[in-house]
Amino acid sequence: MKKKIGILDLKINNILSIYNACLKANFSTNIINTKEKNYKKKYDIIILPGVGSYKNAMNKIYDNNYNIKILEFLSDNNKILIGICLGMQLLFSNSEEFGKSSGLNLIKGKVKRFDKKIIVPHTGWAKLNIVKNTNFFTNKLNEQMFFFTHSFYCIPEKAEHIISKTQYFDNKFCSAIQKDNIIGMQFHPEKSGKHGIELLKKFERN
Amino acid sequence: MNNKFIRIIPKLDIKNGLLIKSINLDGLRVLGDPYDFAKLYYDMGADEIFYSDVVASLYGTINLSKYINRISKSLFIPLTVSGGIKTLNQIEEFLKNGADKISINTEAINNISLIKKASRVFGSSTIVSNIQSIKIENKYFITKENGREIIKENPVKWAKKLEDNGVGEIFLTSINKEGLKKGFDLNILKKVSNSVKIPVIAHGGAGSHEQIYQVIKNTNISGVAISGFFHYAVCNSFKTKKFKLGNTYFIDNLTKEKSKNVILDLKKYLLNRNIRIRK
Repeated sequence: MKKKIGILDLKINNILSIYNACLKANFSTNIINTKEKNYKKKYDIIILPGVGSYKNAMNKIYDNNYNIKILEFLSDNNKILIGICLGMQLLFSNSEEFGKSSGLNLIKGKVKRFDKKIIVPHTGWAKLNIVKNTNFFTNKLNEQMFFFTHSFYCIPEKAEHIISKTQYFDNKFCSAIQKDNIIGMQFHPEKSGKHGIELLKKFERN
Repeated sequence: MNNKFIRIIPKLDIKNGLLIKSINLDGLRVLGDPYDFAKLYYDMGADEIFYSDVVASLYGTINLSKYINRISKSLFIPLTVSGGIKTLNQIEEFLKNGADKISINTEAINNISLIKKASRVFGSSTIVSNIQSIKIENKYFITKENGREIIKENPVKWAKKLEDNGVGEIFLTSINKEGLKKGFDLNILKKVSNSVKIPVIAHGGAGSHEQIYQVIKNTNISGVAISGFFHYAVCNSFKTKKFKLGNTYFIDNLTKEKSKNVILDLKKYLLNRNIRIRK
């Protein structure tokens, strides 16, 4: 049986790109309808994608009660939530975008903008530096490059959740995180070529 | 420390769903099916694809979603789409159909508030602006509708204005150099890339590895967009399809042979000269 992925659609995302990549990684893939309930029954993995504004995305989440549905989904330890790019940032407590915006608070910490003196957004390919090996992230990934495009980055309260760091100018930011069954990736696995697809496939196997 | 990795971005110019190549953004020649080229460049290790519908700002964007939807299925690298985009709804539609970034020129000049709104809603990193710079008697101007109309605005000033309004990337075409394969306009690229704090992509003039190396070394750009230099080197590997539209004399007279990996060759050349680039 193929594992089932549901993708939350915040209407501001490159939604088809993620959908195509999940299919390529051999998942049974569905873009979640706003009316859908009981994600636990239908999906093994939920992807919270995102590009765009933090506040706008959070409003879309509240409008559709995604926050409540996600919590209910996560109550089953075998289920996995993956936040990609802005989706990772939404997992945190708050962001300093447009003053201060509250997030899902599933991982304690804040989201901060890169220094104005360097080139922002950080758009392009960069390496991961794995600081903690897991089922999904291993040292082997240190040799590979992934695609990033973001102006903000996450600062978790607890360093123990950090899976990988990435350097951009003088800044070493958290590029992947895992807390229990919640995973965040600052890069775009769906846009990182063959290595990105391979990484997604690991979630199909484990 | 500047540790950004330079991106190599094949640029596909599309008219009526076919890949074409122009000189100075004018004089179009049909080269083939953009789907074939996009997939080949992805397999060869391209870092990104820039897809530009060259007549969409004149005639509308009716079929654009269909074309990018088809192309995006085989691309697992970022796809930037440009051509006649005027509204937030269109942006949402293109993102839904496989675009990752949206590039806007004409409508940015007509209505800068679109850029401001779009970057707020979709994020700066999704909104690119292409500047089509033209040099006339040693003065630089910007143009709209793919070079058809000249605007009295300096590209450096315009780039800053775009940055202030939230654009996340500048895609700078030098019309005088475009399609000639005689090298980039280093002067304007240097000025623009030094005056903004967002990534700048250089386009127009790539004709040799050395010229590409020079533009990376001598300016502060984050990527290089290449069209003809790549397209002409690979197009004979697709000589199986027949097209009825446009000027197909060139492709009709190609001899079929397997093309070499043009992207890998370029990347090797740059790596040997200590340019940071994705292998």
